[in-house]
Amino acid sequence: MSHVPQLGVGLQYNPDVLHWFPFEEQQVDVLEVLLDTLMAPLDGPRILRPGKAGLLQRLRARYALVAHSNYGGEFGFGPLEETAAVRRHVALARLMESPWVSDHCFYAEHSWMDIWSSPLQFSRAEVARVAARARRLQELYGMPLGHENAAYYVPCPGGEMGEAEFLARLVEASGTWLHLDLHNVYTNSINHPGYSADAFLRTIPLERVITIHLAGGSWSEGFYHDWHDSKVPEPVWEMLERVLEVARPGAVILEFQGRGHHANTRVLSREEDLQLIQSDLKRAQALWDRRFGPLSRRTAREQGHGR
Amino acid sequence: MDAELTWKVWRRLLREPGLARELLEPGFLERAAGWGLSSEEARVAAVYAASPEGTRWAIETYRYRLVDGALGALASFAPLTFALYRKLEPDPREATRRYLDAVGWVDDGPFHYRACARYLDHLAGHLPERGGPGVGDILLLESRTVALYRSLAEAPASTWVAPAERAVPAALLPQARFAATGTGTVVTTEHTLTPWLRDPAAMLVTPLAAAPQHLLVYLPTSQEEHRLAGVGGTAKQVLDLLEQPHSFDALLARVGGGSGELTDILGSLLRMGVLRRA
Repeated sequence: MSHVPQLGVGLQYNPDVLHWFPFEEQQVDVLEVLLDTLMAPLDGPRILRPGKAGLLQRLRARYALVAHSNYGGEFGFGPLEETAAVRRHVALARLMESPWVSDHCFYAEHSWMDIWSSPLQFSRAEVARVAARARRLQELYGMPLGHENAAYYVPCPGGEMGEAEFLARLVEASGTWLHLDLHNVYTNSINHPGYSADAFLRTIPLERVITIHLAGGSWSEGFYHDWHDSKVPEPVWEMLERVLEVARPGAVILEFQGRGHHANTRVLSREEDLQLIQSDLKRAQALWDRRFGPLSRRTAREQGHGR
Repeated sequence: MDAELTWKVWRRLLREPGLARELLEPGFLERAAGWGLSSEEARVAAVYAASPEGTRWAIETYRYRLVDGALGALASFAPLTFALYRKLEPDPREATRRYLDAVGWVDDGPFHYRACARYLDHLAGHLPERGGPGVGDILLLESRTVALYRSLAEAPASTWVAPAERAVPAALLPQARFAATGTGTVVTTEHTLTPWLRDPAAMLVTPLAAAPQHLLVYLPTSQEEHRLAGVGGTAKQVLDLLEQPHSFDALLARVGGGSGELTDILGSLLRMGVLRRA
């Protein structure tokens, strides 16, 4: 499978904040679209939710779009062909003409909300089982499939290795790729004794990273949470600089969202956070340009060609 | 530890508040069998118990999301009921939490219509009584709409009549046979809902006439949203009869009235795609 095109820096197009964040006024190279927000229910006749075809057409006129699957359910224990990933996300990623797609390393069983609480077991048996499903799913997508590393409150019992080693073995066995969420690494390094962000980045094959996520989080009741409700922390910027020295991702994507996981999440607003988000975007663009040159980003290339 | 067994234990912890509470009490392993856990499953549970705060956050955030998900299913697929619920229930999140507790914190995932149907069934047990006339009708209408979508989930492409076949010249209808396609259903309400359907802000404000109304809910194509059309008693009777194929003449004999009226009704229903020529 060929490497991904270099698009640049963008935003995750999250409907949680659509009511106040002016996505379509932003000068970004790419929007990451959540396939779950496009798909119609699995127990109905439609593939796409009403209005989404028009939305995709409008966004594609201005931005490169990449597909992101939260709730594909592909790594559960039921038949892969019955999962939302196969029954909906494959068709939608192709409809978007996405150059790649990314998913998550969680368990599910025709379920959605439990996934964020249910990381995979980092065991040899699970490397083999998950790799087989990942390989098959990438074939069905017909584009590179990257797996996002998880932020988790409690690891799955029965692990035989660390998360980074699991991911490294997974992509070697399956021929798939990595979607590196740096804030998830940072979050785990704070919450789990012995989890080293430095060791994580030294262990995963950085040359297989096709997308990078940046985000911020919050402290609440003794835990640090990946709630996407604040600015990107300095250690995450340092990790990004380090990773970009080796990796050549297709995009760096900034995530922020509403109150999705807990009542203690800070609710973002236009008044307080528009500038913060735009400032994080500019910083990511500057880092990218310093590493790859300004014309490596899609918008800069197009402006250079007079589009 | 077998990963699938581990996952099954974790799912129980997510969905059974009693078990999750018990897990964090001293001496849980001795009581594990009483919860139906094998010794292997109890070992898995004990690992979670050894990280009480992380386990608590994982369960708490799951439940928060599921409350959102249940309300989201209602908002997306039964929007009128959702609007009524917000008017009648002082704390919809807390009420939803109690509802999910009652149904075992089940996560329907991508089966959003099923999640919506389940919640509508639950609300049908008490919301009409609290809301008064018309509320029960709204719940009935949206429950039947959701049921229609679910009934068509695996429908073959041939279920939907091609546009070219829908515009049948009136002169040809008296020679034809007809059958329902299954893409529409008539909901008969106890009250005339038109003022509320035209302006949902009028719900619970504008009184409704206590007169039955026949509302045809139908999907014009597999990829479009459903539509609503008020139909008369004869049209409803025609649709009921066409669960089985009938000729024009057989229909006319059953419903009475004039052939002109029947022709108009059949032409209308054909254009909506809820009938086809058999």
